[in-house]
Amino acid sequence: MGYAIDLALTSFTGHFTGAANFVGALHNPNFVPAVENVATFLGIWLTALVVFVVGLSLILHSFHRRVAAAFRFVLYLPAALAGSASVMLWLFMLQPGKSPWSFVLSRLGYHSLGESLAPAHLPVIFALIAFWSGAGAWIVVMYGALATIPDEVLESARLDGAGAWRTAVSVKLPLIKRWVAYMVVGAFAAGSQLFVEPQLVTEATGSVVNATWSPNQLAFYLSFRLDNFNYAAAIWIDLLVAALICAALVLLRTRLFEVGH
Amino acid sequence: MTYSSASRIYPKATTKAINELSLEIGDGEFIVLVGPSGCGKTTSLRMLAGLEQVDEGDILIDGQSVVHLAPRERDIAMVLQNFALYPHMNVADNLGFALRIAKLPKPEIKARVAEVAKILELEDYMDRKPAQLSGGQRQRVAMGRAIVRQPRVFLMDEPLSNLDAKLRVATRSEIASLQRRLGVTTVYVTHDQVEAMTMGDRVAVIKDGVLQQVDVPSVLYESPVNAFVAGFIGSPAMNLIEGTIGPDGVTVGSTILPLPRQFERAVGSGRVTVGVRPESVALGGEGKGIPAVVNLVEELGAEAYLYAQLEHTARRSALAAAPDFIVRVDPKSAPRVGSRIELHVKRQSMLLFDIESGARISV
Repeated sequence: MGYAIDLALTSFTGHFTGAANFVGALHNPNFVPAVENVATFLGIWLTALVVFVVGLSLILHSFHRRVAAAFRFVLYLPAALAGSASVMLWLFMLQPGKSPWSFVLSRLGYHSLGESLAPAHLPVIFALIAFWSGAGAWIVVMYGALATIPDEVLESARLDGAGAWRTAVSVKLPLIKRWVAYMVVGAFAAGSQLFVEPQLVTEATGSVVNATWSPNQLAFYLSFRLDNFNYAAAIWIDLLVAALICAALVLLRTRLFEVGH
Repeated sequence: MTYSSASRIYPKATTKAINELSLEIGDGEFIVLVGPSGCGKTTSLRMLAGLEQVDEGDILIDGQSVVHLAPRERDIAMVLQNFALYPHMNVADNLGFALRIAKLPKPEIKARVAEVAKILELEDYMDRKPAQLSGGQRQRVAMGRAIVRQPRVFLMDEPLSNLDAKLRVATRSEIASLQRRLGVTTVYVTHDQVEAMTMGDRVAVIKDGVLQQVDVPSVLYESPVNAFVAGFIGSPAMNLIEGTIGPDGVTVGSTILPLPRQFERAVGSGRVTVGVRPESVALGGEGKGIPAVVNLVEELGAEAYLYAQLEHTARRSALAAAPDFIVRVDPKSAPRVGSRIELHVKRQSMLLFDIESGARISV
């Protein structure tokens, strides 16, 4: 990190340049579109993550223990795949003519991989891939958080007349709020640095997808195609600062580390 | 409320946790379920609440079977052992939660919560979360959550067990007084027989899932139906020693004690368990008493309790400590530790129990 800061504040020859690299990266014609792409991806992914992971965890928590354990195992399995393997699998699933879901892709009007992977679809597709491979692990974490709620508190809610929905919304959710915040912080940090999925899609599809689709790809391109490590370091520092600001906002709002809260 | 031969059998268990419990509880009554840990008293309460299923028999409230009703449909409120307050809600929200679920109008919720807060002296703590309250305050909030619902029945599962001894004594009388004031039928579970005897209109003693006896505290104390109830009720516990019925009385060790008059012609011969309350023994009297050696004198101010080893049991069990025989004495004239004494049992206060079944022998 220190070295990245050093590179971001200096030129190729090692001279101090102040904020010049940050300004230069900002003015790169691919920077703003890359940020927009990842922002759209994050909006879809984080929303889906919070809604579906928390929702599925609450549903599993109402099942019998053994049934819940079986479902958790099944949901966790995709996480066992490496990220690159998940991308390969999804590329296959999105290939009209080869995918088992070809009939769905045809109905949607997609007859080639290029049409499936149209730029407007990419945030959704990457969100699907990220959700499919990451949700299971977060469900295990959320279920663990739900398991820390004392049984007596839940029985108390039953005695007070709360049904499953009311117990979930008024008792369980507030008590796992910290864990949801933790998940948002972690997912934002990982998602803002999206690289493997779009990079593999770029490589696999012969540049159907832009090689600078995400800020991390842009930094990679600047570093290893254009030898401009300084601009790349500036972009990485920007991503780090964005993640830290998000984390700080979430932590302050939810008082995540407050003892006894 | 009526338990009608209600039973609970846990999955894969070989014995019933509650075995055909039959008990009628009157309107407005304060009944206490008491027994040792694991006897099934909490299970009985939870069956009534709807938190445990009833595998056999029935439970009725106001003549209506409730075994198929969810807890919220039974119009009962329960105070759990660890209070089970909602940790993320303040006192006001904890008190009003059930009322919000019941969709009562907001002004009514506010009024009820305020009234209960006043009764329980919680007005200064309404904005605090449970973590910011003392044990006694949390206990009052737990009680308040039950009271605010104005239910048909209060259920209390050892609500004082997490309080210190002094607070427990103070809160005990507050609960009893509150129940009398509100007049709500209350079923109270405790393992503490002192709580049971001081709080309940009636006390039901449970052992191994089976109801032993249910009656007013004085009858339980004076006329226990079996050795278990005799030994469980009363503090200190009743002394239970082995004896042999003979033509002249009951022989304890080498001492022959005259039988209570009602037994003189009625009971046969053989081994029995003799029950004697600590206050029914004197250190002096006519004839020969049971010889014993003083092990310990417990001075409690207005009275003292003497713990003595009966000589004949000491001889028989040199390796294992035999239970002490407890006698209530005047602290001003208590004998010293180590001194040899003779215990004179008041004839009419002696109880006899079958040595096999434990059932009280009566005529």
